[in-house]
Amino acid sequence: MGRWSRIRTIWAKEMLEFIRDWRSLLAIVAIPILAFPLLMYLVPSVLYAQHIAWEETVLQVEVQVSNSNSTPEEFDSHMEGRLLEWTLAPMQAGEQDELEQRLLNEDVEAILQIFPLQENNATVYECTIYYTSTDDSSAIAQDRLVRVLTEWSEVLVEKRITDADLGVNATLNPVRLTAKEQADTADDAERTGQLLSYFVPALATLWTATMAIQPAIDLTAGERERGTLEALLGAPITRIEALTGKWLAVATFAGAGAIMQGFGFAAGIWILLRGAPELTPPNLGPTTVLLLVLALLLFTVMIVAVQLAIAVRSASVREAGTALTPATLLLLGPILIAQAVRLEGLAMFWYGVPVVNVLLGMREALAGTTRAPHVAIWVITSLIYAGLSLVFAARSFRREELIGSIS
Amino acid sequence: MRRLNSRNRENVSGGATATVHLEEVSKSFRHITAVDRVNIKLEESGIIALVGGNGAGKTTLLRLMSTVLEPDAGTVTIRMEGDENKALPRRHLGILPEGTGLYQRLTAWENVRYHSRLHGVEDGIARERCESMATQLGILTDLNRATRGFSRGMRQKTALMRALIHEPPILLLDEPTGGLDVTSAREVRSMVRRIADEGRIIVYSTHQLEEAARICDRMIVMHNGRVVADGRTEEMLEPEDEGDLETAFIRWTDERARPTGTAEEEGRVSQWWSRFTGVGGED
Repeated sequence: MGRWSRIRTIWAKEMLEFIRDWRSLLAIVAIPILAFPLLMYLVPSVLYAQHIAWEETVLQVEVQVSNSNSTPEEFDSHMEGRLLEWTLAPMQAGEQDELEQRLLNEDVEAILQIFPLQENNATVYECTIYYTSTDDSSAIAQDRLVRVLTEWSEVLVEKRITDADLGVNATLNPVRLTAKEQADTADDAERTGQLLSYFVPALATLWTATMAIQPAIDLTAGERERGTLEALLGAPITRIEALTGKWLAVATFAGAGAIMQGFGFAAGIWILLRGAPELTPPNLGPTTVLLLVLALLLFTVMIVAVQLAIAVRSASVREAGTALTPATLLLLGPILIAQAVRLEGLAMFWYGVPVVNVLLGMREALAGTTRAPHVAIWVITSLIYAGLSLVFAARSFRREELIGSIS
Repeated sequence: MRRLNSRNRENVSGGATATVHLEEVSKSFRHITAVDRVNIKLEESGIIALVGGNGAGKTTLLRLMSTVLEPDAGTVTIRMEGDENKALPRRHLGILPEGTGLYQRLTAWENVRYHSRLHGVEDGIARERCESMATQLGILTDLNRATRGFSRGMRQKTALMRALIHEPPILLLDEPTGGLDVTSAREVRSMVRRIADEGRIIVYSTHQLEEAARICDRMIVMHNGRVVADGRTEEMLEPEDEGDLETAFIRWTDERARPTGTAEEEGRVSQWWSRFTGVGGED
């Protein structure tokens, strides 16, 4: 029996065990396929429902005007239709503690104070809104009052410009910026691709790494704990063959999870785009897809080998979990760096940094800004890292502590 | 006083097609010498009992014989008649580890088939052999059941079938009847006896003297990692033992037991924690 037949036998057995475990199937198929569509349908739905509910809620506010028992000209008309029930009250200047107490007691959601002043032969109104930013009702009341004041201000400005025999638009917009849509050489699909490049690589790599944790532990520390590893290593196979079979199984599992995640994500995007017709689907050609798959594949090879090596050095499932979870969370560092930096003008060096390199490669592919030298660097360095990770895993798998204790 | 139940095995033991030689084999784990300068030659077929108390080094010795562990000193040589290929001598071995090592989500047959494939046995042949052994062991109807729900006895029998599926000339059995009920233990012993009579070398690790005396042709007694007695049971007894194996065993092992779990073995953090909390430590 040849080496590859033995490796295939080990791989097939591990896959059979995965398939027999409904929790594994749930993790690899159901969650990736359903999670994103549900997320992208449910989150906007919940937010929209909440928005509608607030749109029907009338909030209590109080208006206080300095040295006056009435509101300024035309102010009242701007308060109409704002879902604000307001009362005019005497000014309580200098009694801030009392104002805060009233807000905390929720007697009113916000208090607007207006101070009319004379400036250059005209009346100006200095306004203060007291509210509690951590209270949703109060924050919304403040927002509605700001809109009232903005609209009131615009009307006053227009009126005063007209009174001075000037054109409103010419006075207010002497310099005009051409609309972005008319000047941007990037089309809608490219802009959507760029938008996706900000979070898809991070999600894909994190998901792949997370998917590999449990199988990596189960196939090494788990087998060691259950005593099955000794029986396996007692068979006529080398440890490298055993490791390769297991590594292939974990990589298949994590890779399949990532592909399922891709389908789920595509479905989620489709749902999102249906609800937002102004967005255009990204234009993902065969080269883009190939680069994305290659980057994810190289990342999977590396991360699975590292996780297996760490897990195999643990004496128990618990120990392996304790080591692997923070080790996987460490990926957040390079992921955040790769997602935050601007691709334009980025030093070549970054395309050789582990993890960062594949993420940058995926970002470029999605944004449609792929450059051959960058691809060459991240592919070559990723191959080197994947190879080194496999050597590390192989060395870990040769340790004799893999087999039980003294007895 | 129990009397040694010795039997004449001359007619069942004989030259084997394979041999196992251990020369000055030692193995240590950190500060503990698990196996200390052991010399053993297994050249005749039959059942060889490996007897010793807990921590005597039996399992480590079996792992060295199976080449799963490498010795720190000395050599382990496994030879098969007519086979010049020295790579992976494990292909001549059938191994039953202490914990059975079965995959619980696989059926009994799938567990056996996994190892038969690794040994290069065709599925059809393996199935025939498996069914034949399962019939003898009384678990034929359970072959297609997941081993998750198996009793200890059924797991042990399945693991034994797995060890035998490639018909190895040498069999290493670690506590094969441990935890079994009387009937199951008898079925396992009976099968082991039968395959030994077919000309195989069977190393049978146990800490039960009576069982060793009843089934084995030769007994190797281990204590503190060393072989303290080796031979046919009836030849190993001294007159002062009055035919009682238990008395002889106490004579062979009349030393202080090897200390285990000393503070030196612990990690530094663990030692510090023991001192800090006053839990564990030096006693």
